[in-house]
Amino acid sequence: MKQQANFSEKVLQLMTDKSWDQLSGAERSVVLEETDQATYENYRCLIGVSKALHQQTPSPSPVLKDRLMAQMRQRHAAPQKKAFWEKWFQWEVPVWQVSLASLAFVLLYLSGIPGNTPGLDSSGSDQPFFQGPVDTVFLDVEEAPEDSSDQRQQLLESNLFQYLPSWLNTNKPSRVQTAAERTFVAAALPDSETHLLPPTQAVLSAQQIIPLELLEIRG
Amino acid sequence: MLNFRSSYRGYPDAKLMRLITKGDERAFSVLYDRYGEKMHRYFYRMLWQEQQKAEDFTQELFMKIINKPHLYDPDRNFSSWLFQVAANMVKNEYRRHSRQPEITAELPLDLSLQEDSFFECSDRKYFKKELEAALNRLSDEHRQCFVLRYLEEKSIKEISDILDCPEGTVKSRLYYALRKLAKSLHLFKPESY
Repeated sequence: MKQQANFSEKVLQLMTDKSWDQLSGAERSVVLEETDQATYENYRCLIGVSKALHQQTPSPSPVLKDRLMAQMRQRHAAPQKKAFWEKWFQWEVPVWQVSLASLAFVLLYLSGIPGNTPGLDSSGSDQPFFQGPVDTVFLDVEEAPEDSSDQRQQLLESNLFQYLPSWLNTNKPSRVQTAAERTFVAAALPDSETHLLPPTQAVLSAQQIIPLELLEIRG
Repeated sequence: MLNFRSSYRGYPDAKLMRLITKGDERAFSVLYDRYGEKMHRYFYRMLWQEQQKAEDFTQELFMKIINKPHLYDPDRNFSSWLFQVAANMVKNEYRRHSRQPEITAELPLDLSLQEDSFFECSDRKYFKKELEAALNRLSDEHRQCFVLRYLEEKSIKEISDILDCPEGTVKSRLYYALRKLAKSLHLFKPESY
C-alpha cells in the first residue's frame, strides 16, 4: 500500500459510488495504489452515513420563501410617480459639469464688466473700482425765434428726412405749404392776449392743416 | 398558464437569473425551489447545526440575489457562484465568532464504537450526534471541503473554484478531513496513524 497525502479524483469518486465488492479488478488495483481495502471500506461507510445524515437536515421554514417573494415584489414594484418639483430638486448633475459651468460664468462675468480695464486695476485704492459711462447727456439746443414757423417747419422736415434714405429725401412731400399760407396760419394762431377767446374760423381751419407739434409750440 | 409556469422549471440557472434581473418573480420562485433547501442544508451543516442561523443565512443569501443579481457573471456556473457566495458568508461568520462554540462538551471524544456495530450502523442516533460533533471539530477548511465534496457532491474542480484554491489543496484537505473524521470515530486502530 502506498501512503500519500491525498487521494486521486478517481479513487474519491469510487469511494462515493462503489463498494469494494463492486469494484472491478482494474479499479481495485487503482485503489490499492493509494490505500488498502479496509481504509477504503471504512471511508466509504463514513461518507455514506454522512450523506444520509445530511439529507435528514430539517427543511427551511416555508415562511422564508414568502418573505423572500415579498421582498422580490417590493424590490421590483413600479416606482411611485413624483411631482415635478421633487424631480427638480433631486436632479443629479455631474460635478464636472457644474464646475465647468461655474467657471464659464465667472469668466464671462469678468470679461463683460464695463470699464474693466487693466489701467483701472493698477490705479490704486483712491480710484473707484467700478466706473461706468455717463448715462445722461444734456445738449444745448438753440431756441428758435418766436415767429419762426418757417424755420420750425424746415427743421421738422429736415429732422424727419434725416432718418429716411437719401434717395427718398429727394422726393418732395405730397403737400407743401406755400409761404403765404404759412403766414396766414401764423397770424391766425392765438397769442398771449387772444388765447382765452373762442377760436375763430381761421383758427379752426388752421388746426386742420397745421401739424400737431406746431400747435403745441404756440400753446 | 400552467404550461408556461412549468416551462420555467426547465430553464437553466443563468436564464433564470436574467429574468430575475428584470424582476420576474416566477423565475425567482423556481430558482429558490431549486437551491433554497440545498443552501439551507449547507448553512446548517457549516454553522454548527443551528436551524435559526441557517435560515437567517439562507435568507441573506437570496436577498443578495434579489438586490444584486447583476453581480452574477453569466459565464460562470451558477451553482459554483452561489456556493462561493455562501462560503464567503460562512468564512465571515467564522471570523466573527473567532472560535466555534463548545457544542460537543457533553459528548465524549473517545467514542468506543466497535467496528462491527459501526458498519451495521445500528445506533444511528448516537452515531449521528457523534458524527456532527466530529464534523464540528474539523477545521473550517477541512469541513468546507468535506461538506462540498461528499454532502453537496461537488467535483474537485468546482470546490477549487468555490474556495478559490488549487485542486491539489482541495484533494489534500479532503484526505485529511476523512482521516480526522475516521480517527475521531475510531474507525481504525490508533496504531495505524
